[in-house]
Amino acid sequence: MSTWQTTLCRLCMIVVISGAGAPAAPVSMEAFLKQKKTWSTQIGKLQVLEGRCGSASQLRMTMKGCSLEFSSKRRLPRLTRRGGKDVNVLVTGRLLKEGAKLFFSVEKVKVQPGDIEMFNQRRPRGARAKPEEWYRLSDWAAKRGRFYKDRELLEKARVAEREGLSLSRRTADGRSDRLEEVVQLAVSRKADPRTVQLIRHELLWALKTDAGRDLPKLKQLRKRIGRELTGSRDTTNRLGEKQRALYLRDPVRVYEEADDVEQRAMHRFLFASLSLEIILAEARSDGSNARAIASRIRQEVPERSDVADTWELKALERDRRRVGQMNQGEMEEMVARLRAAKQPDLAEEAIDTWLTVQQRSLLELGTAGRMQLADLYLSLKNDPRTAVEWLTRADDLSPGNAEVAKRLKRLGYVKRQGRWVSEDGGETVATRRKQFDAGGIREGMVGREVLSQHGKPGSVSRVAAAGLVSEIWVYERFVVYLVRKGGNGLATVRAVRNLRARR
Amino acid sequence: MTPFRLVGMCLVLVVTMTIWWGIRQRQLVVDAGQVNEQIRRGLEALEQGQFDEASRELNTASSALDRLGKTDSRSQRIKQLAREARAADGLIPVPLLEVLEHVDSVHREGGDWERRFRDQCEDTWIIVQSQVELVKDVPSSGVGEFQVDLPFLLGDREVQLTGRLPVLARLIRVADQRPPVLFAAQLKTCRLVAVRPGVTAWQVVLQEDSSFLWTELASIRHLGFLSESLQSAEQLGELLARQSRATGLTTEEQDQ
Repeated sequence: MSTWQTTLCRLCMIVVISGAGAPAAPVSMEAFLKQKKTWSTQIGKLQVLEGRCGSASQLRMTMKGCSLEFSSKRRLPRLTRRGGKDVNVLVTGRLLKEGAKLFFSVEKVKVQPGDIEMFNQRRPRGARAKPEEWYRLSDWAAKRGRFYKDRELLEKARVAEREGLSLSRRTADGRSDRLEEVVQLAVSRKADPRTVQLIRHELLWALKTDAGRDLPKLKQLRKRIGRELTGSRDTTNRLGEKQRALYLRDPVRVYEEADDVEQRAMHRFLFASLSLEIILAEARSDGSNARAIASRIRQEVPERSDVADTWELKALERDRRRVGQMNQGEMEEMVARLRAAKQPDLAEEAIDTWLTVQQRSLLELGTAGRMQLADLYLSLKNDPRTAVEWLTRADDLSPGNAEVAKRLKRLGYVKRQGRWVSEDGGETVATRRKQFDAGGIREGMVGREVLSQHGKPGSVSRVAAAGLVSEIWVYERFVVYLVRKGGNGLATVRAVRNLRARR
Repeated sequence: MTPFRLVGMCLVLVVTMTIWWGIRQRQLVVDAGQVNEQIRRGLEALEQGQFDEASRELNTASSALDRLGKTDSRSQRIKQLAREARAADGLIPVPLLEVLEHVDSVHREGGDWERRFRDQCEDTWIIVQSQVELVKDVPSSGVGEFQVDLPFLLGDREVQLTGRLPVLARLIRVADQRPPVLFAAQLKTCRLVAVRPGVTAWQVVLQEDSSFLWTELASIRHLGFLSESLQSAEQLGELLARQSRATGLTTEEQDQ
C-alpha cells in the first residue's frame, strides 16, 4: 500500500469514528411523535429534537404537544418569555428507560428563533422571488400552525399563500391557460374562497377576450360563468351605471376592491353581457328574427329591456312593411305591439295600410265587401263617418239592400229623397262616385269588361308591389288604374282619370 | 435599413402572405363545395315563387361566386337571378300610386308627407314595366339617367319616376325611341317638382345604382306581369331576351 493510500484510509477512519458519536439532524417534535412506535428501538441513541418548550424548571422541562418527560442532570437555561410566548428550542439528548417509564435525558438545550421570526426571515424577497417559495413557506407555517394550534402562524400561512397566488397571477399576465393553472392550484391548495374567486373572475374575463366572436366558445363560457360565479343567474343583482362604467374600464381591479354584494352584481353583469352578445350574434342581418331576439333578451336578460325594445321596434318596422300580407288577427296583434311600444301613430298608419290593401280585395266582393269594409272601419278605427261612406256605396251598388239599410239606420242615418242623411243634422254622405264615371267604367269592374267596351289600351304601364301589380291603361281620353293580384289573377278597376294633355 | 432587417421583413411578409393565402384557399374550397347546392335550392324556391328563400340562397351563392372569381355566363346569370330575387322579396307592401295618393293628401293637409313616404317606401323595391325616357346619356360609364311618366293624375299632380340605369342608352339606341323597359329599383325618396308652368308632379327618386334591367322569365312569372289579353308569356319573354342581350348576359346565338 502506498503512502497516499494509507493517508486516505486514515482520514476515512477518522470521519467514520467521529460521525458515529455525532447527533443526527434535528427532528421536529411532530415527526418525533409520529415515530412513537419505534421509540423502544431508539433507546440510548443520541437525538436532536426541535420544538417549542411547554414549561421548564431548573432540571425538567416539557415540550409542547409531547407527553414525554424531559429531564436534565445539568441546570437548564431560562426557557420562558415575557407575555407567555413560546420559546423554540433545539434539545440534544437520548431516550432512556427507567423501569417501565420512558423519558428523554437532556444533554444540551439551545434556544432557537421563534416561528414568526423564522417566517419573517424566510419570506421571499426581491424581484426574483418565485411563487413556489411562497407556497413552501405557507406549507411550513400551516403545518406548524396546525400542530401547535397557533392562530397567528396559521394566519401567516394564509398570507404567504395569498402572496404566492398573487405572484402566480401576475406571472400569468392575463393568459387564460396560465390563469387556469393558477385557479386549479388555488383550489387544490384550498385557498380562501375570496382569493379563488378573484383569480377565477380574472380567468373568465381572459377567456371572454380569447373567445372573441366565436359563438360556441361564448356559449360554453356563459355556462361556466353561470356555474362558477355565484349570483350570475340572479336577475335582481344589478350594477349601477357608474359602477358599470368603472368595471368595464378595469374589471380585475374594480372587482378586487368590491364587496361581496357588488361582486355578485358584477357576476350578473358579466353573465348578462355575454348572454346579450350570444343572442345578438344570432340575429339575422335582414332583421327577420328581430322579434325572437327581442323576446329572448326579455327572457334571458330582463335588465336590458332597452335593447329588447330596440329589437322589438326593428321587428315592428319589418312587420309594418308586410302589413298588407297579414290577416286581421296578425295585423291586430302587431298593432297591439306597436301601441305597447308607445308608437300610436305607427299603429294607426299600419291599420290604414292594412285597410287600403283589404279594400282592394273586398271591393271585388261587391256589396258584401263594402259592408265588411264599413265594419272594419268601425271596429279598427272607430270611424263611423267612413263606415257610413262605404255603406252608402254598398247601397249604390245594390239599391234597397235591407242589410245595408239596417246598418245605416243603426248608425243614425235615414234615406230622404234618395240620399242618406244623418237623422239629427241632415248631413249628406258624399260619395266619390263622380270620379269613376269616365267612359262608363266603374270601380270594381274587371279588366276584361273594360277591354270589351274600349278595346286594347294605347299603352300599359305596370308597377309591382308585394303580391300584386298595378296597371295603368292609357286610352285616348282617359286613364284606367287597375290592380292585378299576383299569380296572374284578374285585374280590377280601382280608379279612372281623365288624361291631361301634355306639352 | 440594414440588409438583415430587410431580409427579416421580407420573411415576415412571405409568412403573412402564405397564411392569408391558406385561409383564403380554405374558404374557397368551402364555397366551391356549397355553391351548387345553394344554387339548386335557390332556383327551386324561385320556381315556386318563394322569393325570401330564393333571395337568401341565391345571394349567398352569388357572394361565393364572387369570391371564387367566377365570371362565366352561368355565374353571371346566377348573380342576375340573385338580384331579381332580392328585389322580388323586398317589394313595396302597398301599390306605389296608393302611397303617393296618401302622401298627396297628407301634403295638402300640411302634414309630414316626407315621413309618410319614408315609413312606407324607403329602401323597398318596385318592378316597373313602362316606356322610359332617356334624360341624360353618360357614354363613358354606360349609365343612362332616365325618367318614367306614369300617366295618372293625383288631383292635378302628375307622377314621375327618376333614376339611373346601366346599359339603358345602349338598349334605347338598338330599339325604338322609347321602348318599354322592365326594370327593378329601390325607392329612395319623393319630392314635389314643377314640370311645366303651373303643373307640378310627384317625382319618386330611385336609389342611385340600385336599378337593373330584368332578364329572367322564371322570376317574373309569379309576380303578376302576365295577362292573356295584353301581355302573353311570349311577348314578355321577347322583351326580357332583348334586355338580356343588352346587358350582355346572352347573345343572339344563345337565344336561338
